[in-house]
Amino acid sequence: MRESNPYHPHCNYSKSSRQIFKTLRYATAIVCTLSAAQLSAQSTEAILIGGGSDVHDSHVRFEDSLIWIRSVLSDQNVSSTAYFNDGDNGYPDVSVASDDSVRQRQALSMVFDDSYKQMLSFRNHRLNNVSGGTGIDVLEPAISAKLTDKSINQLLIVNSGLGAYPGGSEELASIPLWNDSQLNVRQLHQWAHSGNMPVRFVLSQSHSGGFHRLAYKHPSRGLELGSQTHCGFTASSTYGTSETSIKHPSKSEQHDYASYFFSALAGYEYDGEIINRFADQDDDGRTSLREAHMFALLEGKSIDLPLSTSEDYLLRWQPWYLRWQPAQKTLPNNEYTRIFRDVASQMRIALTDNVAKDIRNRQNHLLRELKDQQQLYTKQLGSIAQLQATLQSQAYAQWPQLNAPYTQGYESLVNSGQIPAINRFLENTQPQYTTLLELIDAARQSHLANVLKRREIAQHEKLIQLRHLALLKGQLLENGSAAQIRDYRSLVSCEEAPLHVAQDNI
Amino acid sequence: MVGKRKIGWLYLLILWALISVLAWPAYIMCSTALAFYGGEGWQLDAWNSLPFSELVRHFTSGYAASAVFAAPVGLVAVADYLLLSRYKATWLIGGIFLPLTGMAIAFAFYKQPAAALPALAATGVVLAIIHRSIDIIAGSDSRGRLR
Repeated sequence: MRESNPYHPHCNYSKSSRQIFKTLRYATAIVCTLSAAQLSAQSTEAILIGGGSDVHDSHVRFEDSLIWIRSVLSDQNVSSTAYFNDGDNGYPDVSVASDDSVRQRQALSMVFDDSYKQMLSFRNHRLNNVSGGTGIDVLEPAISAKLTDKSINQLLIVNSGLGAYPGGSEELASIPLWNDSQLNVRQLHQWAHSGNMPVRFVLSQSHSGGFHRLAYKHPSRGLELGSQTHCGFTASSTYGTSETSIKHPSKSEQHDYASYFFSALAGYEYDGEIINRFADQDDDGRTSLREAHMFALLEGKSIDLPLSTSEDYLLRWQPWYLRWQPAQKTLPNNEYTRIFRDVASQMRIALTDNVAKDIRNRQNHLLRELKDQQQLYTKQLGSIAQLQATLQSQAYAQWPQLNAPYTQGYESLVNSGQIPAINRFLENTQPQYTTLLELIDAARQSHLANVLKRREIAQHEKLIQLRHLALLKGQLLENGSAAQIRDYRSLVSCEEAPLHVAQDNI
Repeated sequence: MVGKRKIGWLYLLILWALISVLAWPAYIMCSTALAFYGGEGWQLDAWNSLPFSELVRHFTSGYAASAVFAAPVGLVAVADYLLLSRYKATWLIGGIFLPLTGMAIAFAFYKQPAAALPALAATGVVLAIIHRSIDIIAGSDSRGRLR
């Protein structure tokens, strides 16, 4: 007969052994603790993917984000393997947006580049110990090897980059990788379901919601879960865009889902500032991934509409006879209702009987404002293009080689040291140049205002989504079959599982 | 006489088919109107956040699944016509069984009847209006059935 050690349930001794080793119990406990700690170090491993499909798409914030996420995971005793853009080949693969004012930039760039490229400079990434590039030929064997590695209990996949969705089946949602390859839902679904461990994921790219299909048996349809429970957290639905898709006018504008999610795990924000509320809702001394997601829902002020796999399940589960039914005004008592109440309170929205209608009215008002702002921005871009064309034609008249970049003539123009002269010509002799700079400045302000407005609108969308999820959870528990409720709970439990499994057992 | 009976049967068949076919669209219309009025409903957000094809898929799958309810609702319309259209007094309240059926469905099949009741009762009213319109178009008037 075996008796379980109440303090260390994974260290079992027979009765006789307990007698013999009675004096050594304390020492055994230490050994058990150490071995569990060692197991914890090996149990969860993370694969971090970052960047874009080319240097223009690969914004420096993906690099910053990945460096920070790796340090947060390291603090959580999770070892990680990073794959970024072109790996370690030394060529520039990151674009850096400059915070310089337009007057500090070269006149040639202001006249010849589009408004986004004007701000960019390029360099190689600064991640240490990168295991390789993000080509599918590198990622496929790497992920497959991890999924069959017996020393790992679970795999965490994190992406900090862009997303794509060509339309049609959800299994086509993808992560664009370096050199125009991609990792789509179908591929990852196939690998995850042939592996022998749970896969969890945190994806901040646009259209990332498609990756919730990893939890289901079929990559594109049905509600049946796979034999192994996979789950994760995404910044958007399959059809939605996320903050990572926004070309920010400034490097300091970083508010994506991953930054809120991992700040909940770390206890401090990306810039080192301590977070202003505990993410550990159940006070068990550690923040689970689900709690981090809830924190991101509560605190996030981006255009993201985050979704966990259990929430995705709720959205898919709703049967035909409930789906179209007008929603009730009274919400059931659950976590989504509580977050709804708190977010509404942050936004100073009164919780009256007509709160849903009030939110929608405010949202419609903001949408109209955004439409006006976007029209202004489009108009500004048109004026900029027109002025640029005028200035370009004047420059071509004097330096015709400018009209044929990548030619020998252009090369000789650059080598003859005439670039400063062209810059001076554009800056000093053209009266339109000052107007151009003013317009570019104004357009950047408009772009920033549009981003802020979209974030404000997304907050309202989030409130509506939270109400919807609150009602859906209530409906599932009341109307769902036992198997459906069990499946939902298994997904929640997957989301709640700690990152470092073995430490639970210490 | 035989011809009139045939027309009568044909009328009943058309009434049953039409009410059955229109039951689900009428339900969607009423639900959406109520959702719009209350400011909350899946379809209000789906219109903006989902591709139109996805919306159509949910509509058509609901259409197919609801047939098991829609067909008997069509029979209720037929029964309503047969029972209430003979006399002027009853003809005036013709179609009343349809909203009552909607309410009965809410109480019989939903775990939260109060939430389902308004949309289903409103659907019954819309179907009753359709039923009465067909009745009038087909030639019935305040004097009674198909004269």
